[in-house]
Amino acid sequence: MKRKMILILLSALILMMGCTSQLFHTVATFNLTRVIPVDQTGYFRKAALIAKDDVLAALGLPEKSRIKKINIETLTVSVTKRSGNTATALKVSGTVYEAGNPAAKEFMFKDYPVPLPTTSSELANYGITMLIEKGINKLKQNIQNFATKLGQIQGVYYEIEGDTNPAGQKIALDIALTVNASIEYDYCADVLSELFSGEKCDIE
Amino acid sequence: MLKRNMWMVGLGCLLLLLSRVEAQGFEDLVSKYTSENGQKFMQPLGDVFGANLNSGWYHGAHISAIGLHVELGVKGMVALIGEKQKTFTAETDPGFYPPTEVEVPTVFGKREIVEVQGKNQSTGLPSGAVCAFPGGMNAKMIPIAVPQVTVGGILGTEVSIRWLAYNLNEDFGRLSMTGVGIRHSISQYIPLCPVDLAVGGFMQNFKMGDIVEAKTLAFGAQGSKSFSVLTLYGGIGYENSSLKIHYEDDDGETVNFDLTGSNKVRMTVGAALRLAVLTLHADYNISNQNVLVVGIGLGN
Repeated sequence: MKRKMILILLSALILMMGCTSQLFHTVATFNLTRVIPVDQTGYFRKAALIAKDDVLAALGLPEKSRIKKINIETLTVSVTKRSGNTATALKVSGTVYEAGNPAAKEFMFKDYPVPLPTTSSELANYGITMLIEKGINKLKQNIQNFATKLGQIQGVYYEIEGDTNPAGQKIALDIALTVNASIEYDYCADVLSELFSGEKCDIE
Repeated sequence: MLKRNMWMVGLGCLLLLLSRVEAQGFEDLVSKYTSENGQKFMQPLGDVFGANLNSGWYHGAHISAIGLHVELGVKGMVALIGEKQKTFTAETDPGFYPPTEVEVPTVFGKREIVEVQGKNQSTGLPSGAVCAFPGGMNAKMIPIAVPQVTVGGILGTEVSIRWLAYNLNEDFGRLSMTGVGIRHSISQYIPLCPVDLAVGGFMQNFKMGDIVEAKTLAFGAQGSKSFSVLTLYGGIGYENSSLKIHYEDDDGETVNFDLTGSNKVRMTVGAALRLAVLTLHADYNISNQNVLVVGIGLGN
């Protein structure tokens, strides 16, 4: 009984400090990957869609949260070789445009060299280090609009085009383009204000 | 029922250092970090948790050779968060150009998000890519409280036990903590010894469902001198601790952190006030992670 009384007393003292709802700023990552099969000789151009619903499904934010911004952190190209492929390297470009408006495409990267794996079991994985700001910003803005449910656009296409290097070889590949994105958001949590300094929660 | 709720809520606020009894809170905190950066982000939590648990075992070195002594008490430990625990050097993710090292908040660091702007490797112009690192909790101090029972006076030996068990919720499962310490009087073998001396060892296990598992081990020597109702005490000890966090989110992605506490050697200075059956004590522990302890005990 005495022990219980001490514990209750201590707990009461702790509770007197008071839990308050404070604002936290954090970052979560999410990936959007599209696999584009290519089976042809020489120049190719293929597109894949990122739908608004795909973005919303990838986010999974807590209820009491507020999106601040979306970042594109990296773009990655992964290549898996299929039988019949004779190409040893590719030179690829990537563009982005809103669904229904292919004329407004912007380059995200241009003539990026992609060495291919020597065997079909190997996966070649490359972070693209020559990104172009205008295209990346377009992709980012569209994903941000999807996440915040702004605008009427229901999806964004990214398109990969290129050729073998040297040109004209037989291509039998699965090319996966992954957008590694992050979302900066605020959320609220109940904490003891005596222990943690921060702004009060202002998310309704 | 109300008392039980008060105890639960108070303990929950303290023991769940993340302050939220929801799995979502944990996901929010660590979702960005699944790489090596995550280990560094969470390291201060491992330091604090181990240092707190390894504290507060004693409030003097006097252990009677005969006569049973029993004390029921609560120990409150407060780890003070220093500036150096609030930041770490993170590396941008693989594939990001240019690869950059940047000072960012730890789990206890400032709340502001840190961003690194990417560049195009061939032109040197901005690429539009941004690598962002989450803000921390901006913690000033992290407390923990544990109940402790000490039974002594058997051939100059005493045993202390810490025990907690509680079902938290579906997300976190059952919280349990068991700890045992044993101390033996050395001064009983030294005739006319001007101070009390003792040595002891302490170990604890802490579990929160399948998500958190912590282990601590400490041993050391203590000395004390009593002046009427006041006892001044101190100690030196060696300790280690580990904190493992394993979490699987709704998408099946797993988050694993295996943290080793930075504390190794600690020094303790403190004072205890004995008023009839009530003992109040406080001590300060100096190590990589400093800890302030306050305790209250009832016993003979």
